Amino acid sequence: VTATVKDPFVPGASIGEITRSPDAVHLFEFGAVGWFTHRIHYDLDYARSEGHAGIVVHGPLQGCYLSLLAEGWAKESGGRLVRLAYRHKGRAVLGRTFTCGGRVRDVVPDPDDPQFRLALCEVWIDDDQGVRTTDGEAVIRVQTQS
Amino acid sequence: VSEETMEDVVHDSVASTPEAEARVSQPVRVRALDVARFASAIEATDPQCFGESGDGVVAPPGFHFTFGQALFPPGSDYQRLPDGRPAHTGGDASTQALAAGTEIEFFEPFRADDEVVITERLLSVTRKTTRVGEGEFKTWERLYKRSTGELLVRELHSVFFHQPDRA
Repeated sequence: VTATVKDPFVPGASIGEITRSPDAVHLFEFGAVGWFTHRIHYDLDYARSEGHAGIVVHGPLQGCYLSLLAEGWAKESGGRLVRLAYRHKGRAVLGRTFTCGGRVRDVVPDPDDPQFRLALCEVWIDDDQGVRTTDGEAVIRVQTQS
Repeated sequence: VSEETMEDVVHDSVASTPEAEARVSQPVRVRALDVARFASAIEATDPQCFGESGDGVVAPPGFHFTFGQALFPPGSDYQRLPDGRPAHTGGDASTQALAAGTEIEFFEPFRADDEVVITERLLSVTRKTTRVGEGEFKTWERLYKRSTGELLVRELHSVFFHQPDRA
């Protein structure tokens, strides 16, 4: 019996989706392990004084969510996350649910090794109010199919 | 550091920063407990994070963010701004900081018992005007290496420091 395995590394393919609804404890944990001491991440009055609608979810935490999304898909697909770049587009506020998604934009040969190819993936985070808080690109390296 | 769109950028001036800005941390050992705490904070569920895969304790991507304190450990020269930010992150008490963008290259994962050395260099300082005001756009490079020399992560991190509009 010969099974046909569909190559997931094609332009337009989804890399899946994860959701996160960080609560105050998650932000405390993340702030503590990373020494993120800026008051906007735990002091509501101060965050409002800087013009934020609420406690601000750390930018690096959002980066970690995108890393989890891309790394998870990479592992399932036999690849490895090698690069992630992102920019913050809107304010991410505590109490919202964040959906992280992505899709393959292009697949190119790895210029450093012809045995591998690179899946260039658009990635993003949208909150449940329709705000795109973050977008960027993940690059996943995978062995070229024989 | 909060987030803001940096789309509407006007280049006023560009200044490069001298190599003298580079800092090198003392070696920091990765503890299994720190990996587990980080995994909990980001809700990572990979058994490798908890040493349950038979391949030791392997940190999820993003673990390098936990080394922020290593370059500037609290001590005699450690200063904090009124908004809670460590003073070494740049700016001063009159400025607000907006995280503008991050680029991370992953070479190898961090593992429990790795000994890590972090090097930080301010790559550029650019004066810009955005819709939130005029200020300085700073980009740092951080290299995370094992003390034996292997590069684990390279990160470029940009922050926009500006005078707040409190009108």
